[in-house]
Order: sequence, then structure tokens, then C-alpha cells
Amino acid sequence: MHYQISHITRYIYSSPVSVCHNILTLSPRNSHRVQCANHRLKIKPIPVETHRRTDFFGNHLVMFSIEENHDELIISSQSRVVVQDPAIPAEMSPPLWRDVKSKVRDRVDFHWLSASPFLFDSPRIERSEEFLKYAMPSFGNDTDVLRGTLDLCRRIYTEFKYDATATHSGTPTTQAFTIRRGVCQDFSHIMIACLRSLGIASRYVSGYLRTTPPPGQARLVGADQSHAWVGVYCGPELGWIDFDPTNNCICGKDHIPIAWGRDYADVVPVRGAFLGGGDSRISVSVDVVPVTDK
Amino acid sequence: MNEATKPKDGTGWQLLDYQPITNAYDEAINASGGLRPHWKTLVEGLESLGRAELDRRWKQGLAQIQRDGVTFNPYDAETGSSRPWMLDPIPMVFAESEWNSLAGGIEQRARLFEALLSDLYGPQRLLHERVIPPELFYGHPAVYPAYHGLQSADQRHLSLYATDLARAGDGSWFVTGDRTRAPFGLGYVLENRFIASQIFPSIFRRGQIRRVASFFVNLRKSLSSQSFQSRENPRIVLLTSGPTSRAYFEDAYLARYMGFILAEGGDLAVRENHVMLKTLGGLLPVEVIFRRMDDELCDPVELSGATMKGIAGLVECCRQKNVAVANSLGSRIVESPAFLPFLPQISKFLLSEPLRLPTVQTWWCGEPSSLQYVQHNFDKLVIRRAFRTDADESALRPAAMPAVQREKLLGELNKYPSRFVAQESLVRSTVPVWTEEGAKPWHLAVRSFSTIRAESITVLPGGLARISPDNSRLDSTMTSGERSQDIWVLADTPVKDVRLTPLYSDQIELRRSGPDLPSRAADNMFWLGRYMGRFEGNLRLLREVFQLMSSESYRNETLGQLLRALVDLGQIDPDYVIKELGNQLPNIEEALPLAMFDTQRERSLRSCVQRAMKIVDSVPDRINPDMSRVVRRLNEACRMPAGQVPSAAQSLAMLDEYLALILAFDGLANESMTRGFTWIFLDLGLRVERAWQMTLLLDSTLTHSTTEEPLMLESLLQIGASLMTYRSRYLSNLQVAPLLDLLVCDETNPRSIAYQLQRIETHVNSLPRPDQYGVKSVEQTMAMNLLSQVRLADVFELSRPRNQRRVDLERLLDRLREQLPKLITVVSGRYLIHAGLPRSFSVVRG
Repeated sequence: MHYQISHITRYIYSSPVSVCHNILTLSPRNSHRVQCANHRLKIKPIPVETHRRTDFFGNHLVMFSIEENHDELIISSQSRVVVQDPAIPAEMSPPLWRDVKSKVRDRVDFHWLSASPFLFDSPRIERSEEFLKYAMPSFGNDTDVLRGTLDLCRRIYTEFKYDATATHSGTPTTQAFTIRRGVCQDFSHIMIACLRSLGIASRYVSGYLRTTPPPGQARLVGADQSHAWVGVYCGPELGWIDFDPTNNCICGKDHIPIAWGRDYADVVPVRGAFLGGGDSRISVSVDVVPVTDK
Repeated sequence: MNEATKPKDGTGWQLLDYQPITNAYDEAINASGGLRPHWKTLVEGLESLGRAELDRRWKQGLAQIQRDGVTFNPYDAETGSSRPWMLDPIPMVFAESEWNSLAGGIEQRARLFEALLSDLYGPQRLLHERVIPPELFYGHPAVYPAYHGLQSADQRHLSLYATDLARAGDGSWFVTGDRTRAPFGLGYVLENRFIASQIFPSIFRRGQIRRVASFFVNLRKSLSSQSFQSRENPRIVLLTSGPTSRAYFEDAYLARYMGFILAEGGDLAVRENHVMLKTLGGLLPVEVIFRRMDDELCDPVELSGATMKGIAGLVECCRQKNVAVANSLGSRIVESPAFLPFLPQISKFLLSEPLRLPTVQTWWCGEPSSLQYVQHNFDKLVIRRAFRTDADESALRPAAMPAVQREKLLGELNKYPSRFVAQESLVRSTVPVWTEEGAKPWHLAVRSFSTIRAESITVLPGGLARISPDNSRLDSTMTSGERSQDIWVLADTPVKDVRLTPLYSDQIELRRSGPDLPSRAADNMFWLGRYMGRFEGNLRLLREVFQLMSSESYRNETLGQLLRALVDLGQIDPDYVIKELGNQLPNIEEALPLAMFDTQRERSLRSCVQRAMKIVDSVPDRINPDMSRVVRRLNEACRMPAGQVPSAAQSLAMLDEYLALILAFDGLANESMTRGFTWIFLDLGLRVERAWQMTLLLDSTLTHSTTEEPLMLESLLQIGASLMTYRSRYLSNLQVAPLLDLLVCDETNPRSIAYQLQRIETHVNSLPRPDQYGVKSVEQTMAMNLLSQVRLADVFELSRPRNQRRVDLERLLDRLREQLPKLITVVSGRYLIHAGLPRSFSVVRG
């Protein structure tokens, strides 16, 4: 599936900002199921310094600084990507979750080292007995890793309420877990906390979700959103598989990943610091448009 | 008693009664009760001094440190000192041969930690080859992905590294911990050495003690060599967390001693990927940052956004190789105790050498076999957090804990084993310590310091000794322990004399002043001047009011008008000047002393002095120690006395005392400050405030003419400190026009408004401007304009009332009231406020 993605972030300040330093995590990274054909970034005002780099996790970052007075900052990111369904061979029997865990722990799994950064605590996620207790019912002694994770995904989907007013981007994972409410970011953090408490490597994936308008209606421009889900290490044969606890599914062609890290803190789309500015307002507009082959 | 320790003067010299305890190694006395040979020099030195002289020199040394303004109270602690320890007069002594072998082990360890950091943030062979478990690195809560690959292979991670040591009962040394972030304690080493050399000058003169000064030369070279630009004389700043941090005293002391600029995050800014120091003359590039701040706080953009104390964009500047940070960002992680059990195999793997200095037995509970051991031996061990995230983390002793807490700790440890390490409990060696009852054995902890440059490592000969009568207290935090001691390494051959100061006499270029005064320091000086000026102005007015209240001829109308001035100057509630309301309020004689000390009132005497104190504490490297002492004394004195509200007469006596201190401050400002920018901004603040106060005072007292005028005039001259001058010119003929001439227009009277404005104009003209030619700057024009309005004023016109109002005077004062603040805003905008603190972007999520 081909997509044209437009992600426009706009900051409006009540008094001028004199300097800002920013990091953008908006350029899609290539992976076995995603190819980024083209990515263009436009920043207004034009930055005095721009620098692209790849971070520790392999994500594409853009660093930029603006050093002239401005009362509006517009970051426009346009991407063209091709996304494939994950190929999970039907004839393959997935490994038991216990085997995945112990092989990584004992450093005998082929990918133990690359899975290691995603096994432990991270800035927003701390493993704990509470998460372990919540996760256990999904992971019986002989449960395979796919089925266990899907069941955990289903339980989070059914037992947690989607509620954009209950949390904000800085809400601690434990708090969202206690109130059983939140948005994709919270659900993904909770799911990762559960999996890591069990000893399974899992990572936070940020990206977009293609939304389908109700039958008979046109797509609303700018109504799409950034989205987040969870990548889970399922052993050397299956590798990393993405699960979406907000929509209770294995991610397919509708999920377009941009970047991944240990949690949200590693992949914030726009972060930075600025001087001045007074009150600031932010507006974000995202469009994910499927492109039909011509 | 052994022959070597027998008293020679028969006076019962107390050190000789020194009895070591039985279950620990004693540094001075051997197992058979004899003095260890390397202590002989010191014991002889002590004997020749005698008890009284030792006491005298010790107290003198401590007092000198105090006088130099080296110690200070943070402004939030109203009493008590921020010094963690007092210095003991007896030093700890090492024989050179023993020290050299210990130093060899420390040096190896410094190399090991350097190699460890290079590997973890580089090729990670230790992880690939399974030498250490991945959780040690990836499970560390203080690791940020931005640290990875930040340093190239030829860059150093550690410029300053510290090792904590303890000597066990069998006489062997063990490492109890390492510090790789920004080790604390060097300032105290310097200070201790300074006092010790005052107590035992002859021992130092004979060249028997290894000097510490060359270590600081090497530390400086190590920092300079990190610069990507000029390695000869790079601009180095010492980045501090600021006056509220515990290490601030030491930061300021080290900066001053080593000649670095002391900077907070707000003093630095990133422009075009270079770190710049904000100064009066503009932005100056910084080449090396000697950071004393936690790694993750250094850059709110790429690291922790928890505070905005750091420098936004710093990490990218490091990546672009435009600035070097020492110790490297991310270096703190290896000081976590979880690494300790793995050091022997890390050493074999990275250095191909066995670890020379043993570490005190440590078990990381993240390994099942270690956990088992710890569970079985819980009460014999000391428990610590495996990953250090807080600079000041304490150790727990389950055996000494109440049962409930012990169970709780054990429960935590069983649930989250990888978060804990356990360490063997060691009985540390003892040293003689000077107490009221003579020399007593206290337990000893030693911190040693190393600096790394290119391939060479320098270990400071000696270090910091912390001592405590309670062995377990020394395990807790770095700042624990009751006292510290200087550490002497007794040289076998006389050492060359290295002077402590000045460090770089042969490299210093002569300079009369420089524009690289940080804007924040200038801002602080300006406000110090304003607070001191405000304090004085209000004090003189209050003094006159109390004088009137306690005098026999209670002059109602004059008093009423002065109260109005107090209201206008923010000293008392406005209700006092409204007759109908005034009666319902508490008696003014009782309310006034309370108002003076009211910290809720922004302009009260107490508030002014508190703020002045805060400034003095935040720029200790810029203020003459005598001046800070005066402010400190004022801060002590200007408080509400305990017990009853002071009477008018008592208040008057107190105000007189404050006035004497203020005059001392003014005198020092005039006589002991060089006329650089520091002084200019201090004086500018003072002049602005004086002009402002006089303007308000005249506005509330003279714009309406009254019947009691002559009495009022006398009071005004008193407040304006000009009564004597007036009398010498006009005898006792009190009239408005000559008074206005003296207090407003006379440029020879240092209390007049014209004098203040003339000084302001001179100062504004001498501030650096990017363009020295051509037209005058806005602030120059404004200052000139203000001054000419006063110069052109006709005092007879000003003094003439129309319908009991002095319209011309009112108009002039109004213009001053309007234009003076504008001038301040322009000057602040250009020189003082380059920028506020940065903020974080808010985010929207899906």
C-alpha cells in the first residue's frame, strides 16, 4: 500500500521567540515492511542550522535551530511510503513465550543484544510486580508468545477506556494503569510495562494509522492523528511483531511506523526548548492519504 | 607506653595518652603500641607546638577561611553553615612508599574507568563478549541514547576521577566506591591544606610534605587539552548548578582558584551550534565546560527536560565538536555500585591486567547466586541502590534497622533484586583526632583524586580524609562524617616548593578590566546596588519618623506627611494616612517596627537585606569578601528582636546600627573596588535608587505647601543627610528654594538628584557598545535628557506655590518618575537580560 502523509505542526506565540533548538522525529525509517520513497521537511522561518542524524535506535532525526525573532513556527513534514503486511507464515508454530524470554536472558538467542535495550526500565516505564500480575493471566505455562501477546492486547483493549481527557502526554504510566483510562500512548506504555515485567523485550513505535471514513462520507482533511503501538520481540524466526492495543490487532498495512524507542520519550515527534514566546498555542494537522497506483 | 611517644616536656601532652581501639587498624600506632615511624615528624611538630598553641593556630586558620569568604551560608538557611565538616588540626599521614603503591592502584583504576566508558559508549565489546550483563548498561535509569557515540575515540571521558578508600583490620586498602561524574571534595582539599600549612609552617618549609598544587596544574592542562580549538589558553567555564546546590561553595572556590569563569546554565547560550558565554560585551565562545552538574540536566533538549538549569542545545554542540564537556556527558553511569563486582573481569578484558586494588566485596542482586547469598547473610551486609541516580545516596544496614523497615527492605530486594547491591561491612582504620579530651581514635575514609591527560594520569598526593567516631556513618554519603583532615604524604626526599597561588603567574596577561563580565553577574551587581540604596533611603526616612515620634514636640502635620512618604515608598499600609481609617488600625508606634521586619512586604528593610544577601551568595566570585561580610552582618542584625515590639527609642538605636553598616558598605564600594564593570553596575543601581527615593520623598512632602513647612524642611534635610551643609550655607533660615537647590540641583552634593543623574550618565557612557562611533545610543540620550531637565530647572520657580500646590516641582518630579524607569528598562534590555530561561515545547498526541 502506498501512502502520502502530511504532518503539519504549528506553534503560535503571543510574543516573539528569539531562539529555539529542536529535534524532530518525523522522517519514516525503513524496515522490512516499510519503504520510505520520499520525505520532505519544510520549516518556517528557515533555520540557521539544520542537521540530520540517525539516533542510537536507528531513527532518522532532524536537529535545527532558529535564531531570529519569530511568532510562528511551522514544521511541515511530507512523506511518501510503501507499507506491507507483516508476513507471519501460517505453517509456523510460534515459540513459547518462556523460551523467548529465557533465550534472550541467557544471551543465547541470535538477537539477544539488539533486544537488550528494550528489556529493562526506561524513562517512562518501570517494570513492577503490579504489571507482572496484570500480565500473568494471558501467559500460561504453555502459551506461545503470539497468542499471549494478543490476549494481553485484547484485555487492555476491553478493560481500559479510551479517554483523551483522562491523561496528558506527561501522565505517568502507573497512573494511567490505575485509572484504566488513556489514549494510544498510555495503552502502549502499559502493554510494554507488562511485557518487560514478564521479561519479554518490547518497544514503543510511533507512527500513523490510516483512518477510513464512514461509508458514504468523504475523508476529512487533517483529521488523522499520530498513533503509537507496541513492537514485541517474538524470537529469531518471527523477529519483531507490532501489536496495537488501542485497536486490538496485529499491525498491518494501515499502520505506518515512523520511529521506535524504549518509550515515548525516545521518539517525541517535535521536542525542544525556546526563549521568550509568552503564551503559546499549538495545532497539529495530519493527513494519511492512500495513493492508488496509476 | 613506648619510648618514641613518651612526653619530652613533662607537661602531659595529651596526644601521648592516645589509645587506639582494639578491633581496628590504627594509622599512627602499631599493634605493639609503638608509634609508626612515618608519624614521627608530625608528633614532634605537635609536641613543639604544645596544646595551647595548636589550639590557637587551628582557630586562627579556621577564622581566616571564614574571613576570606570561602565559607558561606546559602540564603535559604538563615543560620548554620553549609560546610559539611570542620577541619581537624591533626593530619592523616602516609609514608611515601606506601602511598606510591596505593597511587599505582588508583592510577590503574582511573585507566580502567576511562576504558570502560569508551567501550560502553563505543564498540560495546564488553556486552558483545558477555563480560558484563546487559542490564548493567541498558537497565541503568540514567543512560540516555544521546550519550552513545558522542565522544570520538581520541576524546577523553574523565578529566577528574575520585576513588573512595578504606583500610581494613589487616592493614590492606580497599576501594569502597568510585566517582566519575563531578567528584566532590577538591575545594576542601585545598582549604584543608591551607590551614594545615598555617598550623605547621616549619614542617612544610622543610619540604617534607608532597605538594598538592601541581595536581591542579595537571587538572587544568587536562581540561585545556580537551578543547577542539586552542589548546594553549582556551576559554573554560565551570558549570555549576547554582547557589542552592550543595556543591556551590566548592564550585565557586575551585573556579576562583583555577581561574575559570563560574557560570550557571542561564549564563550560557547556544548560537549556531557553539556554546557562548553571555557577557556585557556580547557573546563569547566557550571551548571547554568543566561541568559540576548532573549529566542529564546539562541539556533540556536532548536529555532530561525535568529542569531548565542546563544549556539548551549543548549535546548537539558536543556532537559537532564545537565544545568539550568534562567529564563527558554520560560518564556518571559507571560510578554505580552495580559495576563493582564486575571490575576484575572488566580489567582483564579491557586492560589485560589483573585489578591491583581490591574492591570491598560487593554482590549485585541481579545475579541469582548473589541474590541467594545476600538473602542468607542479610544482616551482615550493607545494602545500597545498584544504580546511582542521586548524588547523595545513603547505605542501609539491615542489622541496625527497626524490624518493620528491615522487612520492607528485604521485601523490595526480593521483588526487584537488580535494583540493589550488598556490600561487606568493613571496620575502617582509625586515626588520632583532636578532641576536648585530647587525641581520640576516629574511623577514617579517604577520597583520592586523579586527573587524566593524554596517556598520563596524575594522582593527587593525599586527598580528603573524612573522619567519624562512628564507623558506619562513613558508609553513608560523601558529606557524612563529622570532620575532615588534611592528608600528608611524607616525602623521603625534600620536595620542591610549589606555591598554591597564583597558579598561572607566568601566563597571565595584564588586564585592567574586561567586558567578559557575565550579564547575570552584572544584573546581580545592579540589583545589589538597588537593594542597598533602597535599604538606606528607607532607613533614613524611618529614622526621622522615629525621631519625631520620640521627641517632645510631637509635630503632627510633619509626621503625617512623612507617613505619607512611607506609604509611597511601600513601607506601611496606605490606610495610615487616611484619618478615618488610621484610628482603627493598630498604633503606628507598634506597627512601624513590625513593618520594618515584615518579609511579606516587598520593600521592607528585612526584605531588602534578604535579597541583597541572596545576591551576595549567588555571585561570591565577584564580590569583595569584606563587602559580603558587611551584608552578612546586616542580614544578621536586621531582624525582629525576640520578645516585645521595640519602642521608638529602641528602634532608633537599631536603625543607627544598620546605618553604620550601610556606610561601611558604601565606603568599601568606593575605596576597595576597581572601577570595572562590576563596580559600574553596583554604583548604577545605587544611584538609580537614590534618585528614585529622593524623587518620591519630595513628591509626597513638598508638592503641597503647608503651615508647618520649616519643620518639614528640617526633616527632609535630615533624611537627605544634608542638614549640616544647609546650615553652613544658610544658617537656620529654612526655606524651600535653597533646600531644593541642595537636594535636587546641586551637583556637588552627593545626595542630590542631579548628582545621581550625572553619575548615571557617566556610567551609561562607559558601557560597551557594539558601535563606538556615530550617534549616541538610546540610553545615552535618555540619561543626558534626564540630567539636563534637572540642570535647567529654576529652584525659585519650583518652590513657588500656586493655590498651595507647587505645580512646577510636581511637573519635574513627574517627569523623573516617568523617565527613570524607562532608562532602566533600556539599559537592562541591552546589557542585563540577554534572555530568560528556556522553556520546553508542549506536545499534542494521538
